Amino acid sequence: MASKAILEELNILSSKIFGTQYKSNNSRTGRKFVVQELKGAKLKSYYPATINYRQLRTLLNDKTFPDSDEELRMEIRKGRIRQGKGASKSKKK
Amino acid sequence: MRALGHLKHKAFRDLLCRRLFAEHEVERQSNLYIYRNPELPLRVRLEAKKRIEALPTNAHPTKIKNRCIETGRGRGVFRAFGLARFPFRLKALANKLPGVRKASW
Repeated sequence: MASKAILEELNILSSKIFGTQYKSNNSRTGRKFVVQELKGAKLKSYYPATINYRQLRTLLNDKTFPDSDEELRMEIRKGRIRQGKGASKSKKK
Repeated sequence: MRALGHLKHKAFRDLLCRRLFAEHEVERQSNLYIYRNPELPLRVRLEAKKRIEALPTNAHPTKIKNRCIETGRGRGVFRAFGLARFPFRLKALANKLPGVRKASW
């Protein structure tokens, strides 16, 4: 049966060899929060980055990319204007 | 090409929580270390606890939830693909998920 002092020495030596922190009496420190790996960047990049046509045209300063949703909207708007159901004109001051 | 506008509004909240968490993570971890260290005086620990509680509510990691990256659905999301059940099925049948094939025996 090894004595308590020898076990303590073994603990100290083991901590020195393996590069871990020496801990006596099973005391708890908050060390795990400091050692913990930061995961904010990984969590932030969960959703894939996307871009829409308006941003693309603004970025490239170009008009050649057709925006089908916008074209459809303009088509619907012209149809409504033809039927006399377009948006009302804004008041002039 | 799709914009992020196709997601549910709760997915935008999740996106906000992720950004805020990444922004305040270092401050949070350091204050947690101080608060959870019993060797420090109690006043110092309680002040660290106050600083943690003073962080914005959406900066806490418990607010983060993995939602579908296609639709923003919160349940039935496969972790490996980040997709809910139905978008997963659509992509799998269209042969767009590597390593996934329809069962046939």
